[in-house]
Amino acid sequence: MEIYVQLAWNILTLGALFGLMAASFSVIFSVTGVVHVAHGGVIMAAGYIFYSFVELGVPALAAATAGIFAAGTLGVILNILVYEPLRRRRRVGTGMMIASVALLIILQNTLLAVWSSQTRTIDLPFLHLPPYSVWGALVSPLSVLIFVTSTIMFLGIFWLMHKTRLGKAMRAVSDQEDVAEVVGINARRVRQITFFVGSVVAGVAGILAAMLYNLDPSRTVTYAVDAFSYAIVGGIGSIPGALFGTYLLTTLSTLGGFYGATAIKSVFAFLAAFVILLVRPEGLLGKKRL
Amino acid sequence: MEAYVIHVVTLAAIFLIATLAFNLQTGWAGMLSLGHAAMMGVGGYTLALLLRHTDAPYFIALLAGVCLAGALSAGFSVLSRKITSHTYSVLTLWFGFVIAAVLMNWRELTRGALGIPGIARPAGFAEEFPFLLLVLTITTLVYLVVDRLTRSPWGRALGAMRDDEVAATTLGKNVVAMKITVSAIAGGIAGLSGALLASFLRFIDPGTFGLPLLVLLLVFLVVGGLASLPGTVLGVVSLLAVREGLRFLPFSPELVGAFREIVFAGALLLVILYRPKGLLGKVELE
Amino acid sequence: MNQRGNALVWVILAVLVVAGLVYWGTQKPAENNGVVENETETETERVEIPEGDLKIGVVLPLSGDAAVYGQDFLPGIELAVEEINAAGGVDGHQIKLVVEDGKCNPEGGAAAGTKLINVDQVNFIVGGACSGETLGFAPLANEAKVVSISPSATSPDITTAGDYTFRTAPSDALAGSIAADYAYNDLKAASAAIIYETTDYGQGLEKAFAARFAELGGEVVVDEGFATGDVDFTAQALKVKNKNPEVIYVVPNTPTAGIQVIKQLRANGVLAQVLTAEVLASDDILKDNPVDLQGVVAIEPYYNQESAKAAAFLAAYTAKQGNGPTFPFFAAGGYSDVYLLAEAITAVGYDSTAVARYLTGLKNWEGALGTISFNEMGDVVTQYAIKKAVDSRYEQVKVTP
Repeated sequence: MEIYVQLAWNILTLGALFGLMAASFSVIFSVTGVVHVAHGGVIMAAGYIFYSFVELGVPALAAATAGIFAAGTLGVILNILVYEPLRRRRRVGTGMMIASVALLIILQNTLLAVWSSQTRTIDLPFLHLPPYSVWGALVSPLSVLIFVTSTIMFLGIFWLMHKTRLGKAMRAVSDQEDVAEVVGINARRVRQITFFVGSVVAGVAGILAAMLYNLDPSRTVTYAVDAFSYAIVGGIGSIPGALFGTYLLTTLSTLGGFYGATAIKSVFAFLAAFVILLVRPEGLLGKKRL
Repeated sequence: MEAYVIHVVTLAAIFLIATLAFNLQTGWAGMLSLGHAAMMGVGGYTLALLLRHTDAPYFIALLAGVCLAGALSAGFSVLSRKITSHTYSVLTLWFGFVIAAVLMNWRELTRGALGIPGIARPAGFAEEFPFLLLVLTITTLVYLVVDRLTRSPWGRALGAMRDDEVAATTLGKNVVAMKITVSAIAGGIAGLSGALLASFLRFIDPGTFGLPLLVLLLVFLVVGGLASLPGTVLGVVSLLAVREGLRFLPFSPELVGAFREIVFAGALLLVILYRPKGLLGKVELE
Repeated sequence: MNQRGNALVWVILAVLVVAGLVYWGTQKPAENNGVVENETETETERVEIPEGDLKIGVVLPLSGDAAVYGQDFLPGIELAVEEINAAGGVDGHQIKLVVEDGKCNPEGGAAAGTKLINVDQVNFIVGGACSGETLGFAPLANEAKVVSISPSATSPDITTAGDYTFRTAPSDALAGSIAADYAYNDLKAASAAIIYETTDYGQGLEKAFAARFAELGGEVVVDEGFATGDVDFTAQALKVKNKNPEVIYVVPNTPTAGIQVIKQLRANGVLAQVLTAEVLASDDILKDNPVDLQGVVAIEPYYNQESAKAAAFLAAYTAKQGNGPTFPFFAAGGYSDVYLLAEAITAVGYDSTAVARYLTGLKNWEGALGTISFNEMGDVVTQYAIKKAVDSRYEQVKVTP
């Protein structure tokens, strides 16, 4: 019995963490149209900066703030240096995606050059607190932090997108950029803000992931592929969809591993994703096609 | 030095075969298939396994690799016949992941991560220079075939399909049949390239056909330019020259790996920023 | 492309055919490549090192997932070169390293090896770190009669890769069965779980462990792999928890994955004894993860770390890098490989066939790996050390005979 409670709780935290990555990817894609694969690099950069500050003895919250802010700034810089110039040259879609792949390689190797390939472990007393026991399952304080933070972030994104003027502008740019411009929305500025917001959310995910999974530059590609796949299955541009897609696929791969073979657990997820997209090209909750 | 040049030229010719097919499918038919590296893997493993476990003659094994890769690619496009644009690319990427997982985990057949050592080259072509001539001959033939195809009425119909699928259908073109055929051809040629790569390296493992190879092919294609075969030749040759040239720059050994990757990716970025059609491309990525 | 372009292609094709005909017309019978000439042959003349520096090639993964190996071994290799050069070099020639990124895959290894062999004209290579890149350049190196010594390629196929391919790491077939022996005989475990990375290394150790443990009479209750890049091991941990084995054998390819597996086993309440391989056997990794790795037993190829040369190496490496090597055995191997080559060249000259023959028969060589010998296949003959993580360092429990 407690095995299943444990399984459920683990999937809940796993999905919350990756859902955050997928949702932030999805926000950026839906508003700006950029298939921002380099997002994986932004996620990892936040983790590494957080790590460096913690090592310097900076209090954890301040270090986390630094990491999150750095991620937001990095996202905006990438947008200014690469995506906006491409857009001015009317280069959207596939060209932008390949540019993003190039950025991903550059970010990954920059992390490698600066922090080396050694495993970096975040060392905070908080991470060594004993776990709670809930119905026989072990619930670590970190997993609670991940779950609570992610939930707050999701509600925050939802509120931002649907209850604020900025969100309205973002959705307007997402639906019809030219029309948005006509009614006086500065689309360029909205995209800039979107990149900041999306990257900040990614930064939060990156810091949580650093504490849970440690740091290694090669994680960059893993997070990029996962966030991308989950967001697409969930439905591009749909935040609840990103969350739903993430939970569906992480559940499938975890159960596939648990009942089947763990060596191919990601195959279960990719096969499911494959079938879903064949049947519903716009994704589970998506409105438009990729 | 000659042996090094022979090595690099052989590699360029083998990659060129794969990239030509890549361009046929992406540049003319507008289907960006990210399963291309996996198709090379299918061709390479089929050849290597047939030579290892059966008495099949070399060229029969090669042909089997081509056919299997072509058939898988065609089968995939039957499934995905209604899917277009980015969604198609994402599906092919996942399809490639699944094939890579099969190569890695079907240990009884493929030896898994251990890979397959001692892959033969055809009799008479075992040494580097004759093998280069063989590869160059095959590359030239592939070039001629692809060139002929793209300039045939069928090739023009592919272009029409890429530009506007609905219009092509209205004009009486069988879009689904074209997609399946072009996938089969491109997949088969990718398999051919993979089989030659296996013979050339004489050792392959699942990692040979992984994400780095896919990214490399993609870079060749984009830098060379879509819907231009001379562009593809130029893309492959110039980028391999850059990649090899970077070996001669005096980076400090600790940073050599990271810096070369950064410079290579940076070059790609500059091409996309300043030459969106690539060096000689005819159409832009949609 | 226009008609003229098409004609050009036909011209190229014609030139190719002519070049081929000319080649086979003038071809001499093929030489016997890749085989060290018979020992009965009369002693060949000693070949002196050419004017200038003695170039030694290095092939290591320096980018991508496996860069952790390259970045760890390279300082050790450089250290050996600095020491030898400071002491006057090899026969008065300074050693110069030419470093190439083998990317841990066959294509990268082949490209790196070809460049080193044909452009830099090296006769000797240290590397590769991965079996994949080593097997990528091994055919070329054996044809060109270039001696390579790998500090860490553990695939069983390296044994038969050629007479010029050596390694100072043992084939992984052995390590797995040593771990099984220890689990069954010393820990008295009747049931075991295996969690391994699906790489040549992980697969090799898993196979050997499973076979040996069953042969001894134990039962392998969980045998699960994971793909490189996987970050979540919930499914593995809970499978193990369900079967409640007495020991768990964890075989990762990199420390990052290994730490993660053990961390998640513990987080899910699996408290059984963990056995692992050399990848996690460094004190530095233990210092960074003292809680999760506490009590873990690592089985590492044995070398006497207290021996003067090994201790001197560790001290010099730490002084150079600010921390010890992540993979002490492999890094000491890279360092020793340079010394092995330097000694062989000093003894028998620059001719690579002579060096290969010298190494093949080498017995009881003293270096940073303690005393090592090569068998006739170019594999090193090794013992294994069993070490347990106690507080912040691994303590040696025993050494296998």
